[in-house]
Amino acid sequence: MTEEAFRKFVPPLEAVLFSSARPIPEKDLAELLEADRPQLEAALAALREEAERDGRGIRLERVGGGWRYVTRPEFDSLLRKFFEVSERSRLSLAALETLAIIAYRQPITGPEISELRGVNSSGVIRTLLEKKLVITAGKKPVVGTPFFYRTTPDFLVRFGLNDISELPRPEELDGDLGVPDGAPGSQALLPMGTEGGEEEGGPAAEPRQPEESLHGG
Amino acid sequence: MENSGAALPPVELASFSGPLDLLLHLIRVNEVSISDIPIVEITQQYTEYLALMEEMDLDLAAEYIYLAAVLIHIKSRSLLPRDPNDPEGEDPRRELVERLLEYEKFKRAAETLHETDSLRAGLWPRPDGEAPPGGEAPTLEVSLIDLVGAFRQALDRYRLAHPAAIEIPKLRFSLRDKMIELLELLKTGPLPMLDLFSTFRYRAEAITAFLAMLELARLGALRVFQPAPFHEIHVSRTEVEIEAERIRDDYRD
Repeated sequence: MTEEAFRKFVPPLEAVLFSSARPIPEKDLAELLEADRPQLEAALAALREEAERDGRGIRLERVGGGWRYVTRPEFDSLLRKFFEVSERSRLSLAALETLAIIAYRQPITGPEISELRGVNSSGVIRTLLEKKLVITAGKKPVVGTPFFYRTTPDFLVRFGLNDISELPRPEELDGDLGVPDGAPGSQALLPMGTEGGEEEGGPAAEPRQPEESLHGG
Repeated sequence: MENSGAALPPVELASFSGPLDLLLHLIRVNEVSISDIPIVEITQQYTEYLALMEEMDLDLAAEYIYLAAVLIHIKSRSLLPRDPNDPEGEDPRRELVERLLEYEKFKRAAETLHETDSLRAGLWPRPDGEAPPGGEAPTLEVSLIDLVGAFRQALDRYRLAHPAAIEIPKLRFSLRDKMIELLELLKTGPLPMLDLFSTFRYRAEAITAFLAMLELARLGALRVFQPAPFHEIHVSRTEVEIEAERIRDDYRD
């Protein structure tokens, strides 16, 4: 990146990212800065490199299909003290289970979730709706027309994902499932094949083409 | 399931997220395989657990009892002699095994989500405060939940502004005022008593007016009469004039 291009794009990019609470999609950043994609990516890479250096309190992360600054994890207790928060509200076991089912099987209805969990889940679903981690997505044309649920962009951000396809595949999850090949239980959690199964998707991911979001609808 | 060293959530009696969770826990602590559940032992332990939970007054969801019934059903089927013509037969546990395997995958996924959530809870983004001053407020997507929430707020606000219990001051009618009012009404001539009283809206008002009428009659200022046998009762003023001033002085509240 030339000196001139650096001056033109990096400081304004930093200003915009600094000001925003929500991750900003690359498309929006490019439009705002009137940069083409290589220019934007170079500018983002420069900021990242800067932020990844030792001695910084923040870092730049790609999450929820956009970019944002967050603090480094080692300053968690300091920030808790500053904001006078003792504990972040944790999700219950039941809520996490339900969230996992919705994440991997979306769109899915309440009765289907209850069936998978073996227990009525409407209360838990309500909690997830209130926390804006899931959202209704139309109704299933069956008896009773139950709501479909899917995860929200807030879900992606909270769990550090850019796209639902970045959820860990079942075989990456801890432990041996003890399922022989071809056994009924070996069916994939994700019904959508291997699309988007790229390297890691954590905060350290490189800039890349935005994947088509599954949350479009 | 030998490899159960993975971090398990701490197990408390009340902490199972459902009957499948409890069953899975029993399978884990017994170190047996999901696909080969020793149905007799597990069924017994499961029902013992339920009894314990009941003893502790935990509200047992119907689903727990349903799964107990399923287990007992499987147990009874597995105790039956195999069909000699079909020695392989269908394992009575098959359906339950499938459900458990399916459930366990999501439970693992939930544990992974939990770990990620705990790690990421330490990353603080900029607080999602108000939009910077000036300019147009950003339009945000509004979900059904937001709408319902907003509506509930509106209702709460309405309730605050309109307290449910509105105190209605007691209507008071005084003899004094009614006496003056009756005299005023009858200035133009006699009136049927029924007509006179039908102008009053409240029972208490009519009673006060009736007392006022009796009082005025006692003072000789009113005459209560029937123009003819079986006719309506009429009221009229007499020659006795009573000043409103005097009534006000004599009849205090």
